Amino acid sequence: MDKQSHIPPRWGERLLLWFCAEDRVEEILGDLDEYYDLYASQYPGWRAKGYYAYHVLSYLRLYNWKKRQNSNNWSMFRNYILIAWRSIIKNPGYAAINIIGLAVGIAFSALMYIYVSNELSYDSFHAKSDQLYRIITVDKRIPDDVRRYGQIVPPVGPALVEDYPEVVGQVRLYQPNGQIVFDINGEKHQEREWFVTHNDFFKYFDFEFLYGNAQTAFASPKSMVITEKAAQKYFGRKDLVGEVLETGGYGPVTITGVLRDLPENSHLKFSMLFSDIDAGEDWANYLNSWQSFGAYTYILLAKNSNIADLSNKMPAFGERYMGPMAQVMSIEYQAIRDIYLASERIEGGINDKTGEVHYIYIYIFGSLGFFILLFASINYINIATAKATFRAKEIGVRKSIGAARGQLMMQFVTESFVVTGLAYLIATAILFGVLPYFNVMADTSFAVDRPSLMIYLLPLTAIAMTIALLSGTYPALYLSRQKAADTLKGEVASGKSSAGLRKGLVVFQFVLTIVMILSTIVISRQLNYISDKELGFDEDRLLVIDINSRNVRAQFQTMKNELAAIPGVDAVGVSSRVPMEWKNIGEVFMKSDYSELAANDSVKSYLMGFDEGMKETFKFEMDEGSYFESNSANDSTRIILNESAVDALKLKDPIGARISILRGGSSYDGQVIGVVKDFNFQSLHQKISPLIIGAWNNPASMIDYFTLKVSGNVASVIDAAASVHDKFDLNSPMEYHFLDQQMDKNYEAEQRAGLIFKLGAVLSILVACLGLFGLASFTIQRKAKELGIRKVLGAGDGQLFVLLSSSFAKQVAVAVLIATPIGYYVTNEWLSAFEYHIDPGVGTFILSGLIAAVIALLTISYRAYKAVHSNPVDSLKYE
Amino acid sequence: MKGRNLGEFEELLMLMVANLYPEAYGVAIREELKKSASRTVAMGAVHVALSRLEEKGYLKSALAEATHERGGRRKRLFSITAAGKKAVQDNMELRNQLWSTVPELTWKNIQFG
Repeated sequence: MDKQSHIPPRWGERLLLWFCAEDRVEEILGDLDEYYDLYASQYPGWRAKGYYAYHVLSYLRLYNWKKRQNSNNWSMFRNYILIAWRSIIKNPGYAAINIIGLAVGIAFSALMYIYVSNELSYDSFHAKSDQLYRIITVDKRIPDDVRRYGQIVPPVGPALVEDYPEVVGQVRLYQPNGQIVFDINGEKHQEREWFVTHNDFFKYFDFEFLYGNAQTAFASPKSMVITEKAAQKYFGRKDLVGEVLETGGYGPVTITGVLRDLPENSHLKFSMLFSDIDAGEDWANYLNSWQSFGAYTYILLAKNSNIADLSNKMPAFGERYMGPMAQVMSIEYQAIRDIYLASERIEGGINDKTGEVHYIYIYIFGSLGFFILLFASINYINIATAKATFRAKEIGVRKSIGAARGQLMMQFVTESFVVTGLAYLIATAILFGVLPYFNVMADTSFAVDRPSLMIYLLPLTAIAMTIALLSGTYPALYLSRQKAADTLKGEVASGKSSAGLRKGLVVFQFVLTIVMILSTIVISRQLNYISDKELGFDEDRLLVIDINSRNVRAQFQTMKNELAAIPGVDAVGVSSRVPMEWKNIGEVFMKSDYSELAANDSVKSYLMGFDEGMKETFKFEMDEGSYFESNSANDSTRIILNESAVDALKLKDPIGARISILRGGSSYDGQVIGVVKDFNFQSLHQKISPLIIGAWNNPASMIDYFTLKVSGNVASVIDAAASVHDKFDLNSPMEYHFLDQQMDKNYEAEQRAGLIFKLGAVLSILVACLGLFGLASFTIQRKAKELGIRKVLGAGDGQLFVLLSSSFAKQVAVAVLIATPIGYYVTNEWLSAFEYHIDPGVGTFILSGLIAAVIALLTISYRAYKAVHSNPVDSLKYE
Repeated sequence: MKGRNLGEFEELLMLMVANLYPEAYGVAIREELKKSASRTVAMGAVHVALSRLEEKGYLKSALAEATHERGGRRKRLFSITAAGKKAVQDNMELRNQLWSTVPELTWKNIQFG
């Protein structure tokens, strides 16, 4: 190493040059440079910077402090801090409101900042992330239903590299089966998070190695890397390099590397990654076939090329390799950094994100953090300005002794720094105390260790400094402007305009609070609605078992009988897909001569294969006709439609109608034997679509699941089912889950959002109330004399109370008026993502307005009550 | 004399300086601590401890020639003084002596688990 390749961040050098004694600083900075150079290559990205920050800060100790000449400025500064401290001590109540309000604001906004920046940082940790793109297949076969897939025909990747010099390289990943089974010390395991790729993978994707390294990991075929977590889970230890994994189907595979657990902000998630494990001919044919599908392909674009230029060349490329098919199938590119945030319309990508909307939450949480912080600082400014009246004399005295305006301003800014500094300390404690809970709530995993804490401290510090500066400046300007003579007389021009401003700010805060309360109510009502909604079948206590082997499929009837014989199992159904559970339900087109639609009109529909046991298991109801009565082999072309399908096809008399069902290139004719009442078979984001229920042995689907209706002891049923399963499936352990738990996963994003909203609502209420409380105290204190006189003249408690609280009540009322339309718009937007949703209704709006009003009233009434009940003598004898 | 005793961390540092001679400076010492003693410490802590040992007279230091590494900044190389050697030796002898006079019975009566 003759030249330094990694330059540490500049701020460390500047800070230490300022802080440390001259005779020490050179060696210190030298050591830090060397340290950073050493670790920057080991830990890419922010980790090295975090450690660096930690070490820089470790030098900030008195021992290294540069001795400075004692100047007058310095002692004045010390005096400012002293005065600031005294003014805090003198009014502990105000100070506490200020500091706690600010601390909560800072902590929450820092939390939101961390959250949002993490969401935005997805897939940015690869050194080449700006050049990596994912290939998207666009399927335009149906003009008004254009679909996008995150997979493509396998040979496209290599062909692109071959044809276009700007495509520097490509990586393909595949998942040949849903799961890979393997054997460790005679015990069978299976893993679903697995991919097969090839030796270029680690050239483009930078994942950290714990053992082994990126250069050699995939140097030879039949090798694999495993993540730390999976290693621990399957082997109970981590140093596995050289171990051989006995896989089912691919034989022995050598472990060549162990990866540090994948970063949370990676869209690529896997436990095991294999390199070229299948040497068979079928596989080679698959890779070269322009007819097959299913390769997740990423390309690396040359540094100075533009992805739009490449996209423009794609029509010609398609023409060249796919001929006329290129008219309806085309290629698009998606930057790897967009995958996490903007894939809600792209199906079948790695760790599919279809339908998951992320960016809207970024706006919501970003603005939430911003507003709460804004209000906390506004409250500070408000209270500081209000308090000025009480400090008028101090300002007057300082001015007449000769303090320049700049010095006075300096004093108030210093005060604001002291208050913010205290708030900052508390905010730090809050943030680190709250993070573990937030992780659980928002399903994030922000590390709570030393280097990451340093990273979080940066936004926290920046936020605190900005607040200190901004919120110190306004009161400073305002207070230092006063004329000395006026202030000594006790008159501070508080001014009509600033009173109006203050009222406006209160209104503004309550608008946000009411919107937050409203959203929280609407979200939790909607989530309740979802979990209580009648789906049209009974989803309780349904145990779903996957069919993972050909052997099971062949003997399913025998296995089903054995499952049904288990005590505590009421019914067993066999099906190709389970309603409400699986995203990719087969899609077909149907048309019929019996239909009243124009002759050639076809209708899109979903298709699932059910056996005769499904009706009893799921307890859905028939509208007319009959259900499958036995699993006899001649039933294969019989079908049952749901009501939506009957409506879509416009069948007058559905029973006995013949329907032709087209799937891919092939088709079969089905005869309708019954119509089932509509039930929800997809998440409640979607409305009930047309559905064809085919027989278990219909030509368009394959049976994949057993579903057991359990009435007895769940644990013993699972045990018994597993021993039945193992008799038929010799390769994989039983894979099972409960349908109602699986259903909840459809609404995870909303549930998470609901929790964060609740937190935001509580905090905005807290901040708004602290602000209101401070302001009310101030107003009441100023009106002390007025109250005293009124009391002496015979005003009753009730009258005084109304006098004090009416102006605040008016402000809250205005806030309700403004908040209602905003809240209506926001909640409607959110609800529109659900096909089945509640109608918030006037009641909800009134309720949230009332909650805000009651909270506001309670906040003021404590102060008002004390003022009303005080002895008028106390306030009047003041002079 | 109380002030002349070496703390555990100080003793460790002295031995590191002795081991790394003539290349004993901040980062090198910290990395060695991490490698051979599995102790990760902040660099600031290493520096301050080294300076304190120098003030006590157990270590001496000199700035090395500037090189192209480290942004052209010089290293401060530490080496052990006679007093330092004596202090480390005293520590070791005290320890050896205490070890040698532990009665056999002590070890026999240790309960494992």
